[in-house]
Amino acid sequence: MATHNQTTGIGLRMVHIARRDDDGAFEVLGSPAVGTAYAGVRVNKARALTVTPAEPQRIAARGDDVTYHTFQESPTESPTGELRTQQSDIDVIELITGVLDFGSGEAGMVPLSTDELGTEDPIMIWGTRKAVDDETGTRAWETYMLLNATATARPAGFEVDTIGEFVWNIVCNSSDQDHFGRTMTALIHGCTEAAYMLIKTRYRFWVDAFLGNGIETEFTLSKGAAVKYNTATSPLFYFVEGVQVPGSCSSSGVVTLETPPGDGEKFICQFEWE
Amino acid sequence: MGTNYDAVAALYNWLRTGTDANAVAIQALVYSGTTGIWQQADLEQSTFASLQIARNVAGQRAKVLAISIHDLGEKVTGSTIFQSVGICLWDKSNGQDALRLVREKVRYYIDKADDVGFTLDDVVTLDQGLLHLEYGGRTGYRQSEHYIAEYDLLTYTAILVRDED
Repeated sequence: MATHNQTTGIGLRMVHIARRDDDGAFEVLGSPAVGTAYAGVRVNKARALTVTPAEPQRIAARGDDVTYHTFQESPTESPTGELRTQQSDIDVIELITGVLDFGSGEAGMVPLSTDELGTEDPIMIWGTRKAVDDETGTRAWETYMLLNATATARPAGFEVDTIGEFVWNIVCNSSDQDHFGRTMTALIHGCTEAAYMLIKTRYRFWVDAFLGNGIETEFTLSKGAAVKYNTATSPLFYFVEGVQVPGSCSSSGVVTLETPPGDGEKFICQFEWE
Repeated sequence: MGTNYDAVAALYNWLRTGTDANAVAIQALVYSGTTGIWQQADLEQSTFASLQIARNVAGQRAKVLAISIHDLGEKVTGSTIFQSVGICLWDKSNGQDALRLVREKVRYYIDKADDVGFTLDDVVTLDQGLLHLEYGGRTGYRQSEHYIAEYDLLTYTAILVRDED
């Protein structure tokens, strides 16, 4: 049993998005050097990340006078949600909608409400908030990881006396892989598909992705010395192409894998930091 | 370290005896360090006067004379307890800049410390925790009616989680 099973959370502290890869983990964009972390794109000034699970179908079997049984069947719709920010960020718009910034220098320009609406690539969205462990009273953190989402933009209106919120309308499709790219199984996950995950950690949650070259075994996590590398309650998870592999992490946040990921193979590391 | 009965006690104990980087950074903003971290009952006019002279002689006018922690009471909404905590920054005949600088830094370091979390002691088995400490405003620069000193009182709301069933 995990240590932080019972927590009470508040607010929203940090949201990241990344393009979902075919393998279920997120795609490493921008061709970073081997050993260099990619952690998606931070959505700054996020004010809300909400998910509304789809209602199950309820079909009542009628007796002569009263309903004598109600069948509860799987929903006919996917969960939906909203990501609201107080900031319009061209990097985020490009990543989510696939449009390109055709500006120059300090001038940014992106199209909105395009004819590409509906053809967006799937993305992963994860948002973290702080919590308190209800049993020990210590700080804990809760994270929602949306595994296979698409989002459409509803940009902020320009109104007097109003900051305005840029709203992303989200559809959370099911994924048959977890965020490590590992196929979900009844044995490990208790299910074979899910739309999102609830993750509870003692310290702040983070995921880095790297590309291997068949030689490199050392990977520097993006939080460096802030990584909780030797805390029994804060394990690090190492996955290469969806398979959990052995590794170790130093005090400076450098992960050493026993076997180097192959050329172009993806290495995902989930860790906690403070 | 004293007992962390509630958010006020936790904040006072952390500031008075804490050794983590955020607590130490706030202690360094007070002329006499940890001895300048007070509870409300510790306030005395004579102390303000002697601290002011010593601080000025030492040429450390960027530091405040003291920080006092105040219990401003609790309110209950539904099953949530909101405790109001006051953090009062004290200075004497030193203009406003030291209070402004320390105010901003105190807010910054308390926000960082709250991310790590303040742990409460479970004196009567309430399974209690301090979920969040949120800045709620300040009085602004004021001349005290009780002491010959100036202050700025920062108010925080602490959200307490208790399992009382």
